[in-house]
Amino acid sequence: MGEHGMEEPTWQGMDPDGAVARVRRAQSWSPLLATVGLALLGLVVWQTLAVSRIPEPIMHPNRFDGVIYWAGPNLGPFYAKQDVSSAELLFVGDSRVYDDTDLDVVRQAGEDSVGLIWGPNADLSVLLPAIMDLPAKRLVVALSPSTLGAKTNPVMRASLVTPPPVFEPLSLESALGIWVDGERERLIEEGYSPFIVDTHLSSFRKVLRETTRRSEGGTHQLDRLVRERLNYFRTASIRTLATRRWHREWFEVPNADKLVQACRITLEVISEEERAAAETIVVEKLRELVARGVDVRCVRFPVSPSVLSVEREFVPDARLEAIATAAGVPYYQYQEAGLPAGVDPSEQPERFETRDGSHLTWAASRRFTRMLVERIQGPSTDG
Amino acid sequence: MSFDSGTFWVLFGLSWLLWWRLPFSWAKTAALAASLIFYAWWSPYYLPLIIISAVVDYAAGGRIHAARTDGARTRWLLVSLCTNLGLLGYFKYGHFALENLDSIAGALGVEGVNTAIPWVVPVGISFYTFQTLSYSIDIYRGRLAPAKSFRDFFLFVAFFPQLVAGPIVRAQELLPQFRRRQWPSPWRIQNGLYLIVWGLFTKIVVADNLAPEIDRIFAMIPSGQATPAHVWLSLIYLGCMVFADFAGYSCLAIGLACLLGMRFPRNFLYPYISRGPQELWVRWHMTLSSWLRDYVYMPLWGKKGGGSRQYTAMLTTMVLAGVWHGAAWTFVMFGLYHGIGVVVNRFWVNTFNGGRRARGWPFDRPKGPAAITKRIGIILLMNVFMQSNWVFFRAPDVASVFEVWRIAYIVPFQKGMGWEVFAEARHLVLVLPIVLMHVTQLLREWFAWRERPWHRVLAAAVMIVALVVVRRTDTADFFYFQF
Repeated sequence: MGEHGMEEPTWQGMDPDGAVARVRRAQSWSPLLATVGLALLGLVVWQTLAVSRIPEPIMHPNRFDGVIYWAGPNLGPFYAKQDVSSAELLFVGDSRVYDDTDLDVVRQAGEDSVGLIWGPNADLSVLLPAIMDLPAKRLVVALSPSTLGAKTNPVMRASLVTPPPVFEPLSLESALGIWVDGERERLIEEGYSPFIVDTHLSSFRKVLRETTRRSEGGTHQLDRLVRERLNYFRTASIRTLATRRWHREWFEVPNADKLVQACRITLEVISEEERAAAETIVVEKLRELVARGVDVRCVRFPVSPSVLSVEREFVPDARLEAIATAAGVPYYQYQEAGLPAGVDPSEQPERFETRDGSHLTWAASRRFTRMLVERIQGPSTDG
Repeated sequence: MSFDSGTFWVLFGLSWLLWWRLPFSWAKTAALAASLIFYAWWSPYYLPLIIISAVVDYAAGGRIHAARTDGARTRWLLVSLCTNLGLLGYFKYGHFALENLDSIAGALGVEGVNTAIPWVVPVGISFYTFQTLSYSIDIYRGRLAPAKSFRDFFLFVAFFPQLVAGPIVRAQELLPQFRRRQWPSPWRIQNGLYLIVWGLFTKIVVADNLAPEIDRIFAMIPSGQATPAHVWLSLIYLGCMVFADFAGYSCLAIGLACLLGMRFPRNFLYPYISRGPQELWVRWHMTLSSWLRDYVYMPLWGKKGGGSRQYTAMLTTMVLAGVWHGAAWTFVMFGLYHGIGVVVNRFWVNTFNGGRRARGWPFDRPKGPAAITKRIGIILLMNVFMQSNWVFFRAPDVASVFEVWRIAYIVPFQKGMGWEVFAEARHLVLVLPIVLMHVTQLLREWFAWRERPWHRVLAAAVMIVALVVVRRTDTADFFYFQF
């Protein structure tokens, strides 16, 4: 298992009995054939075992994942999954929509034209106006206390008070570095903790870099094209390949109480005026969509009991129900379906396991999506 | 275009076909074209730099060889040195110099300078500059004849497998290989494929998966959320990530060269089994350390005995090695850290061993259980030295380096380690392959353990499965591209 152990013997003892030399003289392809055979066998075993036993099933890759979607000047970024500009069925909301909705399951249920737009703590009063012109005929909207007036990442908003400069491809890295340094200093002076600022700037830097490169066209567009074609080949040919969520969940120990504090912080910073203003916009936009003939359904996704109790401290369930009622759309409530911390998922199979209290594990998300799609495909009177 | 991108493999497949299908002369032209496309993929604006560097060195090399007086030879060498070091200094260290000027101006209370510069560090400039410099210097020293064809020379400078992140291949090693095509044996092709799988595995499975965890832990440090156990974990991860990333790239480059029937020099020899800072630099980035040894350290030292002159030469060389890695004070500190380590190491050998190394060093075998235990102890101690140094590569400034060291070395005595972090550290599983690789190397060196062909078959199959299953979908650039 050497880096290149057999390449150039450089010290005595590396090839004491001439085994390396013999192998080099042997003009045989059998090691290569054996390697390919073993690797294929390994993949077959993996596929067979993984589907049922290794932490989560293997996921179908996201073909066009992570397209950056700006709701308006300096409003976002949100992220689009699949081609939202032509999707007939569209899911919108925060990270719960992204994590809890498995688009493969949706497709398997016969929905061929499906897309998803999400953003961390996405404020629906910002997101809904931005998607009004998309051609979706059916819309699934994630309703929760954090999607009403949430400061879509408060640091992001503070950062976007002054829009980032337009970066030139030639000087992208140095200009970005200088901008990030200045921004870091400014945000910390404004009172944000270095941890939050660094976390935000680290991801925002990637977004700005990618946006600049994509706008540049040229080689980056070609790279993207090749990547998409290769991904398409992989998704069409082999189902075992993309393992992102399995992979993430394996490296993270599930903890249904993990995001309790984060949830409290998110909800604390929304003032009552902001929340009320957001509710008004959301109701208005939902009505407008319904009037246009769009089949809208609101959903509250499962969370762990500890997260739910924090959410109820700030927004009672009835307040969200009132939004759906005022807009005249069905409202499916699953907030109590999340599994508490420390309970084995097999003990309560009717509930859904979260990995952090706020987002479902992959297996749970597939189960949940299956159930949700059945309701969406049903009549809209089923609220 | 990165080795782990689909676009690269499309280009390489095409180049490989042309390399073996066309007459050799045309094949070399095609390889040169592919190399320039490969380089221009990042940014075509910097293509002129590599062309200028190649033209100047080709011309200077020829003139040095043809010159009849020492004065003329020296003048042409100076042309080469000034051009290469000038480009490197301007593009790589310009921003650093401006920043420091600005700070000095601020301290003196005068108007500062504009530190915004309209360029980025061109990819691979440190690598190809060192290659072209070695060409001119070797001709000057009479150790190399100038290249007869500009195309061959340009191909040596821009040859895509090693262009952006090494290994630093010298003209003496590469130019002769362009004289005739060497058809590879099945063994060489399989060796190349194995090295490519090894390189992709370490980069995609190990380095790419460790990177976000390191980011996560480092983001906890400024707000005081990181315990000493967090910091030690991140240093271990960082050590494995840097090795996996850089050794992975080198291995890919060597493997690609193998498929084209070429030989590149070894660049890594399992550095984490080193017993001291000097041995570390025999095993780590070997082509850079041997370059610095031949073109900086030896001329500075001049083999004029031990003592202060040798120590000064060592310290200077290592500081230069640090600065080579990047234009920031953290890299100066990195060089100084290793410089002090190397000097202390040499002082120890000079004082207690009469300046002599054990026979066969650094591959001498320990004899008996006591010697083995002692050697393992030294290696573990040396790893504390090595893993602590990677913080220079990751910390944004020198103050952060000291903060990390404070948490790692002082806080455990004040508040304890916070061991419980290790219980949930699943990323440690990614450290295992790196440990396994180093242990097998120890077995080879100490006990003449033999690697059988089926070991490779098994290892390659496991790595391919891991590549398919454990890869991240959003990959990071190779770490060493920035140098």
